[in-house]
Amino acid sequence: MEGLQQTSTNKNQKKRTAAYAVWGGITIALILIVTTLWVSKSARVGTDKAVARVSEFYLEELAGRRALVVSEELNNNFTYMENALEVLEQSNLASQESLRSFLGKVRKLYGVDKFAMVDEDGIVYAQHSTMSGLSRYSFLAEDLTEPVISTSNLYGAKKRVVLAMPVEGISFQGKEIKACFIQINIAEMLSSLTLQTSDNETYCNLYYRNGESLTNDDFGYLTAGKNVLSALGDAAMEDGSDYEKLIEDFAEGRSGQISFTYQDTAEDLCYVPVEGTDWMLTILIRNNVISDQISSISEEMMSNGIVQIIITVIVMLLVFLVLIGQSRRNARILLEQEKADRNKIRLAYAQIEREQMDMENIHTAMGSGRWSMEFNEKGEITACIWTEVFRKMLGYDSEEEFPNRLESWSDLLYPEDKERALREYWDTVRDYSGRKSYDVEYRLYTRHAGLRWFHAAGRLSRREDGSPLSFIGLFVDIDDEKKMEEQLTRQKLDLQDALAAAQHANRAKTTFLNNMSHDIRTPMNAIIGFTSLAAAHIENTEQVQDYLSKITTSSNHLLSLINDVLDMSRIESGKVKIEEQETSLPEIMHDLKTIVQADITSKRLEFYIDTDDVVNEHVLCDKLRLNQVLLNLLSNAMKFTKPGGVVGVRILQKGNAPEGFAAYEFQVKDTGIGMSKEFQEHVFEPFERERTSTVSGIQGTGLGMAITRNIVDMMGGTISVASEVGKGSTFTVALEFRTCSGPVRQEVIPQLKELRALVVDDDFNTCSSVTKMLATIGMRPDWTTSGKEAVLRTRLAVEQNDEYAAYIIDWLMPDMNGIEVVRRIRGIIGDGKPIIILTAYDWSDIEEEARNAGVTAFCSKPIFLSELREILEAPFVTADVRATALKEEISFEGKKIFLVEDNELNQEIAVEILEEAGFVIDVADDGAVAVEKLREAEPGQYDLVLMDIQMPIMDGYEATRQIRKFEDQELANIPIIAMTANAFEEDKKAALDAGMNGHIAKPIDIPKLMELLGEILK
Amino acid sequence: MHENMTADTCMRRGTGKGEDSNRPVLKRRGRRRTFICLLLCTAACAGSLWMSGCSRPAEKDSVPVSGKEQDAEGQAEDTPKAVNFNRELDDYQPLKKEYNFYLTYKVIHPWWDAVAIGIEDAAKQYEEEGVVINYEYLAPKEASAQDQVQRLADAAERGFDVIGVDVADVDVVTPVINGLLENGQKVMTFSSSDAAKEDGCNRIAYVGNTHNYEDGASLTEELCRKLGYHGKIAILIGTRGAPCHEDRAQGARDVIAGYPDMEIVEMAYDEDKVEKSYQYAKAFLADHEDLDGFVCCNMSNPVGTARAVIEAGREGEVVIVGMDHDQEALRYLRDGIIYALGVQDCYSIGFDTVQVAVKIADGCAPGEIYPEKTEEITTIVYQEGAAAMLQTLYGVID
Repeated sequence: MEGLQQTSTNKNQKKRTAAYAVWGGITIALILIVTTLWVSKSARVGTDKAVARVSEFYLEELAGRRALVVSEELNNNFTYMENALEVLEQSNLASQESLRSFLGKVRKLYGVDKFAMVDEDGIVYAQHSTMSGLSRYSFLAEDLTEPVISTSNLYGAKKRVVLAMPVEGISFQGKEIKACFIQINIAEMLSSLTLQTSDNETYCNLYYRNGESLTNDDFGYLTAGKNVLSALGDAAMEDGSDYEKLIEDFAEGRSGQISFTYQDTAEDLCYVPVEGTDWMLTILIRNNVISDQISSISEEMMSNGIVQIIITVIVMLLVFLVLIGQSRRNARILLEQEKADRNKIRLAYAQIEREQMDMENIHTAMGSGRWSMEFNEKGEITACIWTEVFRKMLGYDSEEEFPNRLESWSDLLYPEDKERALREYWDTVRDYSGRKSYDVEYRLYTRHAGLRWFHAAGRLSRREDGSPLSFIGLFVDIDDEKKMEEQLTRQKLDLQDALAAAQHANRAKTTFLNNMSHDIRTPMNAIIGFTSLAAAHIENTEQVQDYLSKITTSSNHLLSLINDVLDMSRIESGKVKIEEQETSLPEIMHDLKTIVQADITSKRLEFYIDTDDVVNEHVLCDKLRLNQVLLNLLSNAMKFTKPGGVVGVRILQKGNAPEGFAAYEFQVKDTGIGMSKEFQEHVFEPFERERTSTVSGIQGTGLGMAITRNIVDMMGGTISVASEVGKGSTFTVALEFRTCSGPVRQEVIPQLKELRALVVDDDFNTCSSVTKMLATIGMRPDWTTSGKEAVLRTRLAVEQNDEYAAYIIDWLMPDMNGIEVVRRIRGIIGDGKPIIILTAYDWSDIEEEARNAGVTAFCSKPIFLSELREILEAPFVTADVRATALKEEISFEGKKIFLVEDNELNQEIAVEILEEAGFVIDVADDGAVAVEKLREAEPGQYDLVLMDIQMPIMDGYEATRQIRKFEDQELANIPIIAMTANAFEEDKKAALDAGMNGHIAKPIDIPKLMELLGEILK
Repeated sequence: MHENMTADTCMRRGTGKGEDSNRPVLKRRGRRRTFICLLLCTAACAGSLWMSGCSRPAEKDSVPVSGKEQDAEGQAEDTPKAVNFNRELDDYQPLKKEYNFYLTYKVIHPWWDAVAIGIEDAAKQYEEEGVVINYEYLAPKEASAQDQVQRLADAAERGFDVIGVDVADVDVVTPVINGLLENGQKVMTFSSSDAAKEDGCNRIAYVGNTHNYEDGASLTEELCRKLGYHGKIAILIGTRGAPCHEDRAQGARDVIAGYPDMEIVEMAYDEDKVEKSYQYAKAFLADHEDLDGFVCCNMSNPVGTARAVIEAGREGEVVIVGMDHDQEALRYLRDGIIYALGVQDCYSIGFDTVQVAVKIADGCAPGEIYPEKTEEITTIVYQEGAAAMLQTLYGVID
């Protein structure tokens, strides 16, 4: 009973299903048909509009182009005529035959209907004919003055256009040719333009502005010859089209388009004027050309669509029924399979869980944490899973502490690594090609172990379109390995640095040795060579003297080389210290001038030395090193400047120093050979000398500038050079010194206030500097660079009763010698006023002459404010304020020197030199010996001790100290001068510290030795 | 010399010794004939259909009055035949590759320009066949028999193959023509005025209007009929002594003389000039308020007369008949100012003149190859046919 009921229920169910399927299919079919019809109708309306728009555009474009073609065709023909006239030669006009031949060639060349010439009687000459043209060609009715386009007598079916242009200067058979023309068959010209075919409904034609046709062709329903304007008067115009406007457009030659129905046919007419003519080109198209085709296509598509829909629905129904039956069968099979699969899945899940457990255990054992992520189709993370192992590696115990979010991890990234790690991550995710793999090392802040290195690697599985699906990876703590690696890297770098330093040192040593070898061997070669030559020619005194002079030169060079090398070595090894002491800049500058004076004179150089704005004259600086710098620069300048050149030194005080300091700029300038740009970059490097033919003859170690730069560096200053080959160089040293007294007194000297002073110097800078100084002390200074002008100004001042109270005049000026200027000024002003000669040279030779001329005083350049003040404050004394004390000639005759020297050769040299000077010499070969010998000596037995330093038993320092401890004070205070190869400043200091009175370096500079001895013994 | 030439040497195209070399020409002719047959069949079918239900009521468009193509049937169909622009060369095969003709006519005038078009087209068709036709086609500005005589004399010295002349004055020119013939020149007459054998002229052949008298008579007959054979008439002749003008005037006079109620009140020579004819017509209309009609014997005077009638405000009242195809005259015809025009086939005159001249140059005597007089038709056109004529001749309807 229950089975029957079930069967009945199933049958009803089947019937209902079938009914649903049928009605469903019918409904779908109806919907599809209705929507298809609706869509088709809408599409047709849209298509019609589109077609209308396209037609309008198409017509306009078409007509415009054809009008252009016609216009161009006409223009081309005018060009043909011009071309033909250009090539027409007299021989072509020799006879009718030759003219006809020419006209025929032209006609053939240009493919025109006729090319002809017309003479003054209206006779037309063409290729095969000569005829009267007066009645036929309307353009001949009047004189032709410009090109015309006309139609010939229109008789005949074939209408022709005539393009004529005037002709001048051509005669034929005694008659002047007045015109030429080309005749074109309009129908042929238009044949290439028309679209009219047997089944096409598009027409093209030409009309005059009055609507008359130029052709004899039909134009749509307009039969040939019909006036288009009068014909369209009968047409029914569409909306937006106006017949009156058409008339106006034609009359005024305007483009336009109208739609109308003519003889029951809807048509569009587009008209455009043809440029250069009174023609209108018209294009006519029948609307049905396109719309009929579209309609038929649409209808066909619609009916096909409906049939297709019905068939589709029927097929769908059949398929649907088959599928229902099939799905039921499948459902039964699937149910059974599902049961079996469920068991399999259960087993598989159990297996996976076991494997996962194993994996977790492995990760835990290996210290690697697994993580995984899932993504949606847009590549956005939908799930992020950090495993417990992962969390624990970072010091977190639960998901609450370290949530399953990407930020949990990224927020812990070390800032330096964060961008890179995230970029690697997202680049991998977004690489849809799947080529990029994720393998990155970075640092993370762990909860308990601080910053640690980790290595992460992972792989992405992707969808078919490449978008990421899931991302799974491992995370390993590599901190220990990383630190080990970093240590190794550091060690490696250290080793590399050490290696590089060693290599560099080695190279430097090699370079140094090579340079030294070369630079020492060069003078040594001269010394040895000339010594041999001297020995060989010992009997020839003159020759020997020459050799000895050369040996001396080479020896001096060798000595300076050794000095420089040692200086350089000491500077580089940091043994040289800058020792600041109170220093007078005027003293330094004057000393500098004194030192170089002899060389300047011997090299016949012009020399200037001046100051500018120096208000702090006393500073704390290492005088010795500053002197060395300036001397080096000056020596260099003199060395590379030829006789007659100019060498100058200028000191400027800059106003940019902090309080308590003064900034100076020392400029050493020359007009010497200069340097190339390339060499300027290396001029301060050791052993650098420019290798040019000019320089090659000049000796030098190549260390001077390097030493100078090093000293300047040590003094905290800068040195720079500006130079040009052949013009000279300017070295500028900028230094900043602590001031040790206030600025020079700047108050006004009351006695001189408002008095006039005249500065005369051919150097503008000197004028400027001295003028400023004079103004500072309250005077009214004038200046001039000309001696002659100075005389004139003096005369003027006297005449104006406003005389100069003081004159400061340069000695050497180009236009007039300073002495002469003084003489003339004295001639004007008499003896009352002081006249000071300012000079950078030694004035001793001219002093007498100068004083006779009226010079009151001499002042040495550079002049500082204090010096000028001193001069002017003095009551204009007649004595030289800087009168040089006459150097007292000291006689060493009979003076006794105790020479302490362990080296026999040096003993011999010293004895020779000293005895030559008149000294009486006693010798000791060691300090200890000297101490004992001196202790036993009578007071006054020796006037002075020359003490070597390095000796085998007792060195010079110790010996001096012991001597200074003698009870006998006269003996204990005996002057002791160190005479040693220990030539450095610290050696000198050590000597003075040991109690010595002076220091002279070996090899012995005899003048210096004598000077020192003179000073101590005077 | 030309009399000695026989039909053997003057062969038609495709015959005789030139047959092989002319085969392509024959084939083309054959194809052309086939094409024409097909065209005619198609036209016949279309015509049958049209006749069966689409034809218009018969109208009075035009009447051919004279000439070899004269055909009284179907006036509407005849209208285009008044001038046949679709002429093709006949089958005659020229013996030479190049010819030189000298053609002179009475006066520079648009009528002869229409003839010139036919000459040009014929020459062009010969050129397409490989035969060059060089020609001079000249006339004085004012009609002058003496000028024509001088031109003929000059042409004779220059050695043309054929000299053609539209005789300005038969009496003056005939002796000159005969003299040229005696000197071996080949001379023919053409266009509107012949000097025939009966005039004592020995010219070889004539191409053109051979029925000027009939033309004048026919037009006048139409005028009389229109006026109900009652009224006063003025005749504007043209150039004094010009055979065509004089013949037409004579034809007119003779017709009017046959009707007792018709009277010629004025006759004048207007020298084939529009302005002169206008002045004469204006004067006649002023002098004869009862003037009923004009017979115009050349191409210019219908225009001048129509202008005068319009100016006098007597259009529709005064009946004008005249000659030729002036475009303005045809417009007046279309508009009913002129009643009838006798339109000559100028195009064919020019076309045939060249064909005949070639044969004369080749030494062919008139006879089988070509007639001694080649007649060209004149068609009387009325208002109804004016538009079609305008379209045919000038490509203009309205």
